[in-house]
Amino acid sequence: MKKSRLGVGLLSAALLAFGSIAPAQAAGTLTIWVNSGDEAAYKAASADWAAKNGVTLNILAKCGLGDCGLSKLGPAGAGPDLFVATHDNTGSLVKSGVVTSLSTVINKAAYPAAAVEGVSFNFGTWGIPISISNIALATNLSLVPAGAPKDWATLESTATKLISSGKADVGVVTHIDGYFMQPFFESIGGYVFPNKNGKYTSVSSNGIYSSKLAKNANLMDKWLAAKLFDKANTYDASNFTNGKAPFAIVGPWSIDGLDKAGVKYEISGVPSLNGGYARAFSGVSAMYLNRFSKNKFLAKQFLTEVVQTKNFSKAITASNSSYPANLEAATTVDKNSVAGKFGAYGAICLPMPNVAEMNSVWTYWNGAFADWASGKSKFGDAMKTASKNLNTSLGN
Amino acid sequence: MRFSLFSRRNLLFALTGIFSSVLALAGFSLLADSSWFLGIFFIVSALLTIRIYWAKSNIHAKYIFPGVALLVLFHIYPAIYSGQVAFTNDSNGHQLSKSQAIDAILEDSRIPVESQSPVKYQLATRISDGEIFAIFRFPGLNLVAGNSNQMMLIGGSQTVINSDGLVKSAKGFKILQPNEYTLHAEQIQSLEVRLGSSQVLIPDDFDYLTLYRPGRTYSEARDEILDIATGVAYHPNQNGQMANSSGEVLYPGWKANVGFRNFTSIISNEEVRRPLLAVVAWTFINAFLIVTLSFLMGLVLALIFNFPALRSKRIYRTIFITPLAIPSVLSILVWAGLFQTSNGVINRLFHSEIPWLTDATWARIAIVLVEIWISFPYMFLITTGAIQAIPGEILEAASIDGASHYKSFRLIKLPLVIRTVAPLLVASSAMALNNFGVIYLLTGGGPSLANSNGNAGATDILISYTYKLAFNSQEGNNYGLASALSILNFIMVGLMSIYGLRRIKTMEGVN
Amino acid sequence: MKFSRSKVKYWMTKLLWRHIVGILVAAFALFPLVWMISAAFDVTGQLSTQKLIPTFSGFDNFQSLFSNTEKPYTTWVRNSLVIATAAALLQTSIGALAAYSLSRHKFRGRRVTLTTILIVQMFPQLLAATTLFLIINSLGQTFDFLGLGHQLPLILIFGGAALGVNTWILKSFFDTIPSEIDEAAKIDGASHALIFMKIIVPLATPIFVVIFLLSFIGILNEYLITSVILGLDGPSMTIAVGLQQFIYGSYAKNWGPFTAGALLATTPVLILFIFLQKYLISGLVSGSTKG
Repeated sequence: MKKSRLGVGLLSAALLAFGSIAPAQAAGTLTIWVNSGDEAAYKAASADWAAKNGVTLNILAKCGLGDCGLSKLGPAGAGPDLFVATHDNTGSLVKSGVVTSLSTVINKAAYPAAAVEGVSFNFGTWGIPISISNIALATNLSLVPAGAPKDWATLESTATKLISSGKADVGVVTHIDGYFMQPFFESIGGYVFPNKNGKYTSVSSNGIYSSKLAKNANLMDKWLAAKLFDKANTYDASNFTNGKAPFAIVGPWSIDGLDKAGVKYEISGVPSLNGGYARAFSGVSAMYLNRFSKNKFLAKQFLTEVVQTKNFSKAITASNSSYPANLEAATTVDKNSVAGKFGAYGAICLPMPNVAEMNSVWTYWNGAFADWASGKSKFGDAMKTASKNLNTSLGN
Repeated sequence: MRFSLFSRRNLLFALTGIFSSVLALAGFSLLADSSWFLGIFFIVSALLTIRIYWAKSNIHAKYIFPGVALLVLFHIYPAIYSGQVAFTNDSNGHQLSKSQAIDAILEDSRIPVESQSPVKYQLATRISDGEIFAIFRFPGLNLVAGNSNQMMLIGGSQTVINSDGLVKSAKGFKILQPNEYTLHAEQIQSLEVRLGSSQVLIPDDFDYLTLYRPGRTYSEARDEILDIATGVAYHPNQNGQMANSSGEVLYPGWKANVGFRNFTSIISNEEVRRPLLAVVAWTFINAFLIVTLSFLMGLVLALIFNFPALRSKRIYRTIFITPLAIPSVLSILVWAGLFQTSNGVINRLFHSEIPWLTDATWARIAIVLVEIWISFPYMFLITTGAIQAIPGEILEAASIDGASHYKSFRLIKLPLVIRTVAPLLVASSAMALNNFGVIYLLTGGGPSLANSNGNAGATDILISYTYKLAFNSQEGNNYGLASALSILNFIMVGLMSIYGLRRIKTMEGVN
Repeated sequence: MKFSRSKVKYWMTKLLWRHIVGILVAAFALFPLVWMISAAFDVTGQLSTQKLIPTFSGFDNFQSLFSNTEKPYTTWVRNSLVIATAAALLQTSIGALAAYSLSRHKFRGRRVTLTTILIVQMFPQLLAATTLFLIINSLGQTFDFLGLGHQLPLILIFGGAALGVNTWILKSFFDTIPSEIDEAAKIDGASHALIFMKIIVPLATPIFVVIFLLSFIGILNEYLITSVILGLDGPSMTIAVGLQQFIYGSYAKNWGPFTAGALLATTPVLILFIFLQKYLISGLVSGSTKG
């Protein structure tokens, strides 16, 4: 009995040993994580190069779980070779040590200085810009036949008149958070970190409760009370599309919805209280190279021969309605098109700070906006607390 | 027993034999790929399979083993693995191992020597041992083969040079063709040729080597990084970073053991503690509300509709359990749409302007409403089952004794029902304490709590707060703290469940 | 019951209020479903401003759902069905095996095992998601079919969750099957495997249906680990993961195809539930009512 048992077992083991499974190691494969929804565009734009060089491109949508485990997978040797992220993550990625410098790869002249600045950190350049996106003001032309307001007084009076006459429910449809409110915030004298012509000079002090903002803070309270902004803070786009709000803060991602709703609108910058346009944050979508990639040279070749070309930038931005970062590609965008108008405003926008400290900024800054919108505190008080807490948390 | 090769028993031996051989082979392959845990796990599983299924004793093990094996691999191991993170400072800036971090600091500090233009190189493997070498020629110097270990002259009569100046063949080396590079990509990119003057030649791509000089050096003996230009020395600090005497640190840092710091910070760190108290309180209130309210609703409905004369009760029952059948991921998202403040369906229905998802109190009410909607059908089902299972004689006896409806309910039905469903209620409470889905999909934990610095929201329960700490990049990916909190959460829920089960046991004992 | 009273009065006092309560609760239970249906047929793709009877109705949402090549709904349905069916079968069978043993074999540590499997499942899988990602990733380095983006490892992960509440319910049900039956069979020389297959399994069919159904819907619902293991690549997503992409982010919520897809996904499950309702009621509690 015992013998037969052993025999049968060994026999089956031997049978299996023949068919032992060998791991397949593909040569010349690049794994690239892109934003969900952009995969097809990336595949199409790089297919020729991949075919010509015999490279297998594994273009995958990033998962929605934080950084998708990049900071864990990279060091474990399991992350993607290249990945797309917005430039404001640069500082955090560099400090975590998960990306490789692309200083020798990037052709800086091909991009706006601000975009290069955005992906630069600690004496290195770490990403290849692909697209630039920013929010802008949309004006409902059937409510405001005169078109986009040229100055703040026009915007304010147009909105308040429409609201008091009952034609509109709210002035500007917007998320009440730091990113969406930044132009208004700058308009009354606030800033996150001190900067000069778009270049940040220090993170050891913040301007979330600057002296100028402290003086003007009551303006925000007044505007909220006058329904210029919606207290509910739910970004009800239907207010804008149904003609119940003359203005909306929109991003390139909103355009599809606006067009589908059939609303007539015009895109422009957000007028500043101090004349001209107030600056929103611009975000650069860029491709980064994993420090622990096993195919760095091939990845660099891909960055140089594909990602940095005019056609690539054009193809990607056309598919997700953002503005090309590549200067040559940008010249091909029609100035009067929606994308062109976003781009025109974007050119004067402020690059979103790319320092790791931004993680804390969002926490406190957005919290302050939420507290203000929900009526928990006055604008000035909310910002004062946020500024103080931010300083404590950054150890300033 | 007569020997038969194809007996049922032998079939079992053959199958388990094959299965464990597969496992063992898989284990060795995994070990070869240096997946230590997985390799050992597979091999041990293979041995256990043989041990358990070839033996006659311990019958129970034959039945429990498959479940336990998968449980260990996909539950217990990940739990322990992520649990030990609680004792580290794993967070943004502390993701690498110490050696990876030091390598990164050194690599990022390298400065290209601008006076030396990039040097064309070729790749070769040494025939004797397969080591990869870069073959290049410094302007005006001889042909060299070098890698991080050694450098040698290879000029001379046994080296054949093409007309374009590239090496065609060299003795002892096999010149690699470009189409072979990708096979060695990983070794090539880590190639570096050290020159005497502490400068290094590093390939930037498959064609050129660039000369770099180090900006910082590391001394292993002293565990010290020295900045060459300034002469400042950096040493490891308590927090897994290289720091100089004035506290300035170099990035990246590494994942360091910090003992119980994450746990003590829950008590000592005002910023962690303040929102946590509110979150823990809501975790319990929320769970209590869901379980009691949905149980009461289920029970009352079960009593009302367990009425023989009501002919349409089956239709009602069917309708009542529909929430169970709608995948809740989808229904919660629909609820979120219906709860919109301006123009939302619910507000229009009641002509109200309730800020359902943006005001703390209303958001909590909305959460509880949706959670009741999700769980009352289950409670309705189990209480209906429990009532139907009460032996008719008991109720009859009660009615003969002249007990009123209310009395027979309170004294007979209710205790029996509760006794029957108690274990399920304990399980439901445990699930309610960990009910991530509704919170995450409906409010995302928001609106943010005053004085919580935006980290915690009014509807956050411990598990959703933990999720934000770990994954929401806005909060900075603090895995260490998140892991510590999830351990506390586990202990809390576990203890409560054990207590609940104990109570049931004593209750049964009394009966 | 007193027959002298009129039927009408009986109806008024005993039934009318039951109907009123029933209709109110039914309205509550069906509330999101009704709006889901309404939005699914509303071509404007709204939900927040939805009217009960949409002003512009049609099948546009269903068309766009099936014509979207980036978001292949039919593939998601297939993925969901394969994963949920296989994993629910795995969970039910592993759970049944363990429950049988826990119910019938008296071995040392039985109580502890029972408590442990319940408690272990309470460790939040959220944080373990990254670890699971790493495990599956390294498995995939060696065995491609067990790697990320494949369904088999995901099914096995769900199989790992088999020992838990469901095992408890199964065990309680097995406890109600009189052990005299298998004692008798044992005397007749039946092996433990034979007793399980020939006696327990046929008698426990209702509870298997219940457990399968609960597991099935639970797996259909799972999106966190599913999205981490399968990734967010168009063709590899499941219904739960994929449909969310339509209303992903706070800016461009496309409720039309979302509700249309949700409706299509809900209908078969709902029908299944209606037909198996009887089992659900008896199965879930029968275990604990042997006394």
